[in-house]
Amino acid sequence: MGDTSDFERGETTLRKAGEGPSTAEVKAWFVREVLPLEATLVQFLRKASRNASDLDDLRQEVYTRLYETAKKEIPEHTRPLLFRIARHLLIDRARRAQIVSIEAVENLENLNLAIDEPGPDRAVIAREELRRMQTALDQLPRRYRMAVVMRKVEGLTTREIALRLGIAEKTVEKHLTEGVRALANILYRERTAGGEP
Amino acid sequence: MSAAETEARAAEWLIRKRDAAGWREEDQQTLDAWLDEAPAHLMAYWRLESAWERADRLTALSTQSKSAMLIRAGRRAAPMAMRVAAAAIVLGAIGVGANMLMPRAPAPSIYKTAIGGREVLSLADGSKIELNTDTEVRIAGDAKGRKISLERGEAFFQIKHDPSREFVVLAGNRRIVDLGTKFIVRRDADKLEVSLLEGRARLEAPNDADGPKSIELEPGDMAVAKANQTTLWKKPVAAIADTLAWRKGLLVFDETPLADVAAEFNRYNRKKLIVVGDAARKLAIGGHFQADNVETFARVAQGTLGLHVENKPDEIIITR
Repeated sequence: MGDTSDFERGETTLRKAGEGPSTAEVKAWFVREVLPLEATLVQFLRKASRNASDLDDLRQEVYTRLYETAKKEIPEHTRPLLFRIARHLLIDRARRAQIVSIEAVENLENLNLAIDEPGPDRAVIAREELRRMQTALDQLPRRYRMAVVMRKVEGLTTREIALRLGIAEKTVEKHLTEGVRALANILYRERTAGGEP
Repeated sequence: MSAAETEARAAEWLIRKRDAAGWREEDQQTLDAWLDEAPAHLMAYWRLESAWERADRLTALSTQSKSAMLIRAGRRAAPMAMRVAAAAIVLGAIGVGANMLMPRAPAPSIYKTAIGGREVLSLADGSKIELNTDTEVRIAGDAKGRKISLERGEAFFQIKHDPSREFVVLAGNRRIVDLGTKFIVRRDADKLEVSLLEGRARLEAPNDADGPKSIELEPGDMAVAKANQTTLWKKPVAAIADTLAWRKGLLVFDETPLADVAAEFNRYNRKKLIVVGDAARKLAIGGHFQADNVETFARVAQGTLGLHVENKPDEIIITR
């Protein structure tokens, strides 16, 4: 499946002679193609890796490797590449670990099928996006939600939110940073909001 | 740096950058340098930024006039589907109602901790409030004063005194007025305890209460208020400080009856300790324990104290 395209890609890279896509292009591709796959990726990593505590580290490593590739050239088929990278990463880790987990290897084999299925429709209509946002906001811990809503809906600055709530600016900043992290996890990691049937 | 640490840093940058005020050229340079440092930084930042921008749809909707949306939602009119959705988001998101969106109407902020939880709140004036397990406070304030209502649980107050802006804790029918102080307020179902560690505070009772309506507390004082009656205990300041061991997740007992020890543990854990029989309930216990580790305590009770311990999924029954 990937052989010929890999070969072609090698040629293109040669012709371009080091002149890769711009950062803006890589970013647009990352947001458009990679982030929507995060839920599936995390699910895959969770099943394949027995140690669930370093899921975020694994995900970050996959993104980093993916980025190194995309910096040379934006991949044409992101999904198979993403999971190829994830599989290699897990195999590398299993090799490095003292104990090779048979379970992990088995999972890697079994999961091949599921990974290559087409992903959920990328085009999200506005209303669905809204519902998703609402669900995401509803799931945020209350304090974070208040700060995020005040910033996002009312457009207040950190200082204004601090005054309104009678808490320190540092605390508001903390609520906002935790809020955006939680929001990203809800939006990208969980498929509950409209992703699965 | 772990992925979680990287993400936390990226989130800090993002929030600071997106704050309308105070982003300078040199901040941008420092951010750029950080993003250049490792692809992981860039990935984490892009990911959060994209999530944050998706939330911008909320802003776009709100510009259709917040109050108009709220009025529509209130009247249950039949506006466009999008507007209903927007109003639902706004109302759902704040949960408490419309007043928060109206300018100059500060709504109380509510802070809660779960069983076993702990939280430090820093107020704008530099005061600090630490919430112990299963606690709820509401904070409201204006130019004239600061007001905290302790709905339940326990909190340690370290208050920056400001004579022009009094600081009051409301707990049931009692008021505690700060006079420059560190104090602890614990509100249980049937009683209120106010312990003073440093400085001074005034405890005020309602007009129909028995005895004095107002008591000025000194360090080492512990006032126990039940319904209409208040008792004042004089204790060593160190004993008051001991009760703050929860700030480190510890419980400290000194000749404490096992029944009370169990009650303390039960504040912090879902798995409850039940002590059956007077002989066991009155047994005096001393020592330091991890508040969230009731299992360890049960083992000590069995091994060291020789009590009979029955460990069930959601409770531990101790008998003698």
